[in-house]
Amino acid sequence: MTVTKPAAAGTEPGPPRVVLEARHPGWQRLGSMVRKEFIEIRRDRRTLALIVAVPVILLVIFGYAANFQVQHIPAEFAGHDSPLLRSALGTNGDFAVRLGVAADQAAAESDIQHGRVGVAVVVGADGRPARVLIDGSNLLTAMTAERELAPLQGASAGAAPPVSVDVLYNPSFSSTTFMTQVALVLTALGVVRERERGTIEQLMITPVRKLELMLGKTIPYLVIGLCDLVIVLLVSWALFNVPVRGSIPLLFGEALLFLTATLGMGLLISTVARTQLQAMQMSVFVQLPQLLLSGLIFPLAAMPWGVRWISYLLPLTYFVSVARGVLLKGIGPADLWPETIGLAILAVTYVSLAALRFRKTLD
Amino acid sequence: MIEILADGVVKTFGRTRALDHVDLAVPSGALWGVVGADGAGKTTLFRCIAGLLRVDSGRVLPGRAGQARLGFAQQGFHLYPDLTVEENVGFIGSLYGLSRAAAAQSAGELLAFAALSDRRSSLAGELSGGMKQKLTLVCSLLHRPPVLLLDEPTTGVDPLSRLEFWDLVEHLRVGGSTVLLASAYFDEVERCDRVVYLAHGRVVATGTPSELRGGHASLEEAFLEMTP
Amino acid sequence: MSSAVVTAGLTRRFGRRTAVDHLDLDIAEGEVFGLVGPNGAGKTTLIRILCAILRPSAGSARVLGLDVAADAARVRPLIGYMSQAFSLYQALTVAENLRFYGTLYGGVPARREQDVCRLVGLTPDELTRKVAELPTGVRQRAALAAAVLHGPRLIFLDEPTSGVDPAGRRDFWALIRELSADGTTVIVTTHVMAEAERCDRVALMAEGRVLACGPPASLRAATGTIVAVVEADPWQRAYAELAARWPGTTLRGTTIRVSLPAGADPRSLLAESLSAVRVERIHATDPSFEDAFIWFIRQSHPVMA
Repeated sequence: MTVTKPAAAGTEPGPPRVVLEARHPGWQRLGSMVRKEFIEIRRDRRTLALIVAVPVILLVIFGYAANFQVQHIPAEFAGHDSPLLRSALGTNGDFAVRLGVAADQAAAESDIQHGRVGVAVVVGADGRPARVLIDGSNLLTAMTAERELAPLQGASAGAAPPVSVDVLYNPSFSSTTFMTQVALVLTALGVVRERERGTIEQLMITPVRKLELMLGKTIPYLVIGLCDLVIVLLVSWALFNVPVRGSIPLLFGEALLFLTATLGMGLLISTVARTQLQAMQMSVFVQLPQLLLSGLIFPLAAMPWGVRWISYLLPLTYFVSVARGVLLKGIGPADLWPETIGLAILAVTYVSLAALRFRKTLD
Repeated sequence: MIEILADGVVKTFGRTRALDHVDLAVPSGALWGVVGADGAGKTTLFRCIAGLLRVDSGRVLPGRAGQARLGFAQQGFHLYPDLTVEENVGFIGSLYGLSRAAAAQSAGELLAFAALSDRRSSLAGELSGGMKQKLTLVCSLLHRPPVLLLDEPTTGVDPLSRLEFWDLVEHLRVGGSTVLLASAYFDEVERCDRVVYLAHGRVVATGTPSELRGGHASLEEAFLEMTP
Repeated sequence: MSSAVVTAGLTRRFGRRTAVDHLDLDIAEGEVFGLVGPNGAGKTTLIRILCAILRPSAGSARVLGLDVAADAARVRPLIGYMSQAFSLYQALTVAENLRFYGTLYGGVPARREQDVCRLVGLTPDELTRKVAELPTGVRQRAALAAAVLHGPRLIFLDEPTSGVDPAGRRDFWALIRELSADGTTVIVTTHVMAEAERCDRVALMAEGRVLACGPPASLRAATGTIVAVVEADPWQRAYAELAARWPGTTLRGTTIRVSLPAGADPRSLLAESLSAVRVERIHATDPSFEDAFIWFIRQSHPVMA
């Protein structure tokens, strides 16, 4: 587009026709789309509130709500007894320690599973606590127990291996699901909103490529999802002492994979939904199983196979495992191979399905 | 050289045939007009030519491959109501590969022409109907496209603004652009080199304005007669 | 004759922008009154105030004797409004829409519904079709039917023929005339000058103010100009030359129209500008309504030409 023709004599001075092309139009287009999306998000006060406030508010509500009511959590020892610990726990009013000692960890887990105790401390032959099991299915119990037992890790000083605190059936990290809920819904809505408003027709007639369009509508929400993760981790750490034992970069790396898979789902929804209302409804339809089937609240092992296969289709299932492992157990990438591969496969699958359905034409 | 082409275009929506073997060939630098009642298929035709809809059979130019050289001012408002005039213009410019500087310069001139310069910081959604039309036209002209499709760009616009529109389009024409214009205003159609009359998805007549006027007092009368 | 609408110093601001600026209007009952003007002139805002769905920032407006601000609720049953955008539910049939709107006004007898449908020319078949499936012309008529169903004495039509082909427009205006003959006051906005000329009186608005108001014929006469009609070849060149030198130049089809002071001789005045083209015809004529419109607008904005 560099041709100049002189304006016809007598016409008002016309604009010169030399027009410079950008050096990398594809990247410029993508950058433009991402920037535009952020401007729109910033101006949409309600969505902004949703992104920032919801995860935090819910986290805080759940966190603090747990504070007031829990007392006398039934607790027991397993394996061996430890008079030192027994008296420590006994003076702590939150726990009601059972007399007697469970046979071993398995017995303790069974007790927890059946709700007989809320906390079990597995004590080794040396009298030191090897493991603490907490019933996470009762959110209040879990949060309190976790907090109160944190010092136990300090108790095993020196050469002894650190006590790992396992929050079984762990809903306290349901805050991560709020982050994903927000990100997924916003992605789906983002594309559908363009379709509803008619702006997508303007986009489609330009040289913008299908890939740029998809990325342009997803990257902003990827960024937002990661920011939410940061916020959630900060709040969890600051207010509730949730530990971050493992590698943060690893967590974020996995989070990136996880978000890609989730946003892929969001994009897929956007290719099916015709209105924003439909997009919201479909998003909820997808999110609810994630809450119930990802192992967040109910353990995977307890699910019948008729339903469990669905869990493996959901990105959250893998990420819950990752988050738990990295945050609480501090495990490294080597131990997370199955989850990483699972997330990668899901990411590729959902994004590909979305790409197949995504069209740069109206029909 | 033919810049805008529809060659035996057929487009069906469900059971309705929106376009039935439509033929149209606009040579470089020409201004052609398309007239027809509402529902005749003008918008569908334009969308096919712009690559926004796939044709069931037939060929179009520029189509999807030629989108970089095409400016398409669509009917209705397809810009971002929650972005300002300036932001909308900047965004569309970047989609067409204009560098920041070029986009700013082009936008500046076009907005001045369209008398929208003092509304640069207004949200596009707050503009009145006619101003939105003007903004749509400005956005379609940013990259000074050699090919221009205008789908009823002046419907709902006052006479003075329509004149300003026309000046805008003339400037591009003078620069060698090829224009296909759908209009409900017969006086605009009269200025076209050739006119195509579309009814029920078919081309009913093609010719110069004077040919089509025939013995009638005005083009409008002639078309009223021709309406099947 | 009593007034259907009287405004005094009517003003409406949106933040820093003044949409309606100390407007004084007096519209008689039974009139077909046109509101024309460039976009952003304040026409839609004015109509919304008169319909009592928007409150004035200052000044007053009385509709059918009632104050729009104080008696809003009593005004509404007396007026009808056909908006620029479609006000009918797309997924419903015409008949269902009419029934719905009827109930909003407290129920309309079937007889009235039939009369209205006959008045606007809706066929029984069209009544059973979904609005989304009907062509624009029919939809407009259905929307009009919904607006007059409850027998209002005053109706507002905001660009009612937008998107309708000429034949449809003609039919629609015949309808408006029929309504007016019944005693209904019709206030209509339009961008089509030919339609404005069909009104009893027209108010020309720009930037929230009335630039001129009166019967179309007197507005045409009020400019104090004549129009030189020039047919030349090539017309593009002739237009460019004339527009460069004469600010009152417009284009109609391929004919150039130049606004000149009354009594001027077009041939001699424009000879120089037309020296480079072949003049086929040149004669003087009285300004059309469109010429008058453009003249008035340009007068108030010398920069815009």
